Amino acid sequence: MRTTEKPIINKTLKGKFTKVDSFPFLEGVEMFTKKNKEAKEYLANVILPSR
Amino acid sequence: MNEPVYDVKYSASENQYVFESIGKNGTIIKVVQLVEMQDNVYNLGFGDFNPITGQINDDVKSENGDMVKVLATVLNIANQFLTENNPMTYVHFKGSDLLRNRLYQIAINQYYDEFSDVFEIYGLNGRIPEPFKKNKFYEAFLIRKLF
Repeated sequence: MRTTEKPIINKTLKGKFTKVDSFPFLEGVEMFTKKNKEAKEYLANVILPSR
Repeated sequence: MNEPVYDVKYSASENQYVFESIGKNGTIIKVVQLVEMQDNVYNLGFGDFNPITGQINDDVKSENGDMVKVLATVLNIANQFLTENNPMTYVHFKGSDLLRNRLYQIAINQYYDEFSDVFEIYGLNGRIPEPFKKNKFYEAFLIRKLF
């Protein structure tokens, strides 16, 4: 299964992803706190599909 | 994804992704972060970084003329995150308002054939997710890799 997925993923994953250790300019920046809180409350009531 | 996407830098330890939107209003720094909400469920946060205020605004309308490319990049980031992480992981996302949610809907519609080969895509309108249906409004979305 994994071997058949690879070409699809490679086709889908366009664009370059460059890994870095961190983003110094984001240190201490508030990151989506309110939206994450809302999402957490919302998702707590969601029944996730079972596999 | 046949749409062009922006190149992305990412910090795997922080689940943070950064790319630059380049358009009619100049260069805008876009930030995406995935935060775990519960076991194997992550929320995707997305907004503009303002270098003057040092803050991220997830409600701002950039109007940089590259909306499709930006949304394609955000979906590509979700794709990359799911590919590199636990295959049981879900990514949840929703627009910050109805218009943006509609834009996500359009973007998923556009890439549905490619995405549905690789991911389970669910729409949410309440407690029970349903398999994504084209042209139906959803208040939020969940995606997960197919086995």
